[in-house]
Amino acid sequence: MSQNLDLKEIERRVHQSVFQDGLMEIMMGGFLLVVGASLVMDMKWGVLLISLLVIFLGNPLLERAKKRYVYPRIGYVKLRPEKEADPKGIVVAAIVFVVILLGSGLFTLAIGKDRGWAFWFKYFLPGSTGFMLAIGPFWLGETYGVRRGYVLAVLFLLSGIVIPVLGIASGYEAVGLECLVVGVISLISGVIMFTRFLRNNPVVPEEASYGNH
Amino acid sequence: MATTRIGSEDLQPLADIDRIIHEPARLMILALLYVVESGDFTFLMRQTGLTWGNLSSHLSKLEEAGYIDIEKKFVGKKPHTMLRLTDEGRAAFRGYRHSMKQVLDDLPD
Repeated sequence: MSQNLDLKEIERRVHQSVFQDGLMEIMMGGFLLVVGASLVMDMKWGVLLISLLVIFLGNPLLERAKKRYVYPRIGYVKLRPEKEADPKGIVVAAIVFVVILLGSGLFTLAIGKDRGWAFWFKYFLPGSTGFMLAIGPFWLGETYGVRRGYVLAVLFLLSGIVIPVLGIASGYEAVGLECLVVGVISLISGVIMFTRFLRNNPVVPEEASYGNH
Repeated sequence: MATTRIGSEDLQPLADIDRIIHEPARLMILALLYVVESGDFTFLMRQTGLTWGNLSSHLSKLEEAGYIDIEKKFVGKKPHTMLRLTDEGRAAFRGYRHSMKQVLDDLPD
């Protein structure tokens, strides 16, 4: 029996149950939509405002929603402190970022100041923003085995490259579009997950949740 | 005809298996609490698929053995039960895994 007791699998299942409600995706989607819209409409104060709101109200709001919709259905679990992130992964990510930064800097110098700045603004800004935005969801996938994190990370990376390369937008506008694209996908998938979660997990009768043993 | 008998010392590891943990439902509960910091009654009910009464009785046994810590408090007007593995429970679970692995590894194919 003990040989089949796969604790890593049990831990993975518990982590997935914690992230199955879709509330995090809804919140992230909403945040990205506001940031994206602010950048596309050139209202950069909107980015600051929503960022401050998320920093100060994000966690209490998420916790309130979980208390109302999630804990009465699947219960509350406090996960063990996060595992230390794999230092190899961090080193590789840092090296990739520095190489891109240096490469872009050298290229900028090589083609001249004005053309270089234009290139930097058009391609490097959206690309590096996509790279940085991908770190969060990727970390979620690595630490808690939430595979959706990898999908969002790839979406960030791809949109950061594809939008400027196809000439759809550049600079801040491209970053804004990037946020809008990932935000819409995140919001829609979050709403679907949340609806499915509510349907599949009825509220546990109160006397059962008391645990009066 | 001579028969080969297994010496009692060969079976000793089996006799040492912790019977409190060996019961499948309790093993499930301990395994779940082992991988998290703490969880409430609903969480354990959902994850184990045990009924309220069944889970309650297993939790009582684990609490009596000193393997889990049960904290009852009120959240608003509702009572809420949080459960956590004690250090003793964590050590016992590790010991159980080790013993079972040893016993099963020593069995011939």
